[in-house]
Amino acid sequence: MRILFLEARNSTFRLTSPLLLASASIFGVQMLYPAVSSWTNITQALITTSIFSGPFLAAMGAWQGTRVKRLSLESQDGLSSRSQVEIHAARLGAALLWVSLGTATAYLITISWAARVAITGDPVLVALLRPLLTNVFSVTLGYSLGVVLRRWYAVAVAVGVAIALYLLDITASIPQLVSSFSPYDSLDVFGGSVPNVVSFAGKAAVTVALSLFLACLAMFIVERQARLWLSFASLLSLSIMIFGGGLLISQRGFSFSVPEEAEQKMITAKSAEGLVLEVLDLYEPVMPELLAEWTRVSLLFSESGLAFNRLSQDLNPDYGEAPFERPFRLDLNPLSREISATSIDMMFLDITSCGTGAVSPSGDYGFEGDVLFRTWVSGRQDFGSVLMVDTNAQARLDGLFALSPEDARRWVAQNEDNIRACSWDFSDFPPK
Amino acid sequence: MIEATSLGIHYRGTPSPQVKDVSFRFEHGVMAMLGKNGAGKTSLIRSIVGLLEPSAGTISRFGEEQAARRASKEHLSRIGYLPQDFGYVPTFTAREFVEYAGWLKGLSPQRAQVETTLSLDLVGMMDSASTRMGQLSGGMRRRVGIAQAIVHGPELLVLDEPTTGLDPEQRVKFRELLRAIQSERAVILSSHLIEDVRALASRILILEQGKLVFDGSTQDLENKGSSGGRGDSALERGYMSVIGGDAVE
Repeated sequence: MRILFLEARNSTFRLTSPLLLASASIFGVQMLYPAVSSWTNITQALITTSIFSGPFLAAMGAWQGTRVKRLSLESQDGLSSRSQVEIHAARLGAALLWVSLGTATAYLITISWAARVAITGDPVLVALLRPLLTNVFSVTLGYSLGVVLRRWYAVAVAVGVAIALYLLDITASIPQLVSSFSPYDSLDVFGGSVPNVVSFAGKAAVTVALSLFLACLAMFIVERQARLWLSFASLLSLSIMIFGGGLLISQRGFSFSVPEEAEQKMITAKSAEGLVLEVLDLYEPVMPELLAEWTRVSLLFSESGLAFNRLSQDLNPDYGEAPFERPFRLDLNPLSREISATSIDMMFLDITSCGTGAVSPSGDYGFEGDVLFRTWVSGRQDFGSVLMVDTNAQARLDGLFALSPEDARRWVAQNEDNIRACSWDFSDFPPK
Repeated sequence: MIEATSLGIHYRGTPSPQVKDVSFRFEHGVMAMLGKNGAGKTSLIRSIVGLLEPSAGTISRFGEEQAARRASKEHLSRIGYLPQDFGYVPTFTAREFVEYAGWLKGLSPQRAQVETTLSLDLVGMMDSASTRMGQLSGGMRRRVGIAQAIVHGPELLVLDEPTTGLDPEQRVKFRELLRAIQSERAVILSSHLIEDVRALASRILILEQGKLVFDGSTQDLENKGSSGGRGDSALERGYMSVIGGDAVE
């Protein structure tokens, strides 16, 4: 232990590893949902951080692995009465100690960032372990190459191998099952996804086994003694790999799964006006906003044929044309910064496919009228980046917002056909 | 302790062997190896300590012959070695460097700690024990190098050009240090500095183009020199005579 700490005090990884992983976390947190947060999302962000860090950690590992040649320590190491396995175990162990602390830093940053809004769901330990194991693999990969190749170019080779493994994953022609064996396998996660425990356990086993196997292989090359133990360790790693591979195959490589509807954790809320919303518990932090905005829309539509008083989150939305359906879809996108407004935008797919499908805008204010109406219903006070030809469009929007609740409801009811047919005249909009 | 029989060393890719048919037996005291640059001293030393496999002949360490094989781990723990240019991790403190070397030589971490203090004290480096290796002067680093070579209490200490790069005062200190540690162990010393050899060694080997051309006591070598030969001391004249460089130009 004393030697491990001695190596740790002098390891290349001492400062660089926490710094690197903390910096990489900045990229990882980009994966976090801006307005809601879940442990699944945190896991995904941490895995992204570790994948992003992979080539850098591999490079640092290789640099550390070339220490003997770089610093002319051949005589010291070569004349040691300890086995190379023991010597390198201390050096690699020190590196892994710092990488573990660096990974802990990344965990801390990511979880703190996510905790700005309430974190929903339950942490799945084996899934949260993956970023750490990926980092361990990256370092072991680089270190093993450094020990075997001995010279500086080991750094370039380590980076190349790490990037190649990543590219292997993102190459479309590689089946999901094959890429799931890669420690740099990136993930497709949806809002309601939960980690697949069996798949993550398989992945953990494969990653640990790969790391152990690489280290054994390197030791086989540099150590003439202790080969019996190395053979045993290699066989053990292969056994673990087969076991982990079996688990991955049994899950067809899918790391996340969307639970059956009955297993989804849904929450329900009812507004004073009687609107009932049912959404995944992921959206608990934005539920008050969702309820307020959808109640507003519900009231606007209440005197028209578009009226509704209950919406359930559509967990598997169909983005094709499905006009004139009620109750409307409640399609929530966790990646959106304006979850309520974008969910209202998505509702229009169930009302009209103006300009994008079979229905073409008509009337002297057709397309702009449609944009104006949608902007108003979504609660946006301006057109944002949407370019309006009519320089008075903003005045029209302000006019809609200036309507009293009763007048607004009446206006929607009066224009229901225009809404559905995407047929607008300039004169349809207040102020008249 | 060390016995070489018809030892030959030939690096791959070089036209001629570095060491040819060298035989000697060494038990105790201080034995110096003299020779020009490239005479094969370092190759022979690396073979003695077990870093280099001989391409011909045998080398026996501590009574066990190990032909064409590196030294066993057990034998390695009985040898201390200071290479001509020894490497170090610059961020290691002197204490860490010696302690680590002790651990590499098989000492338990606790024992290495204790022995490190004794070794650093012996070489007069206790005051700088917490200084990083990269910040030590050349002379201090050499002393730490000796401390790492003796930390595990080797029976045989092998020093390759230990005074290279030291100033005169440091060399005097080094000799005093070596005198202090030689009483407990056998020492093989490679040098091309006659004064060092004269001050320390009782037996001298001279290598010339890989061949052993002299093996005898200091006195024997002094006797080889002629009064009119080249050199400032009897030992230098003897050396010049042996390597065939005593002809007056």
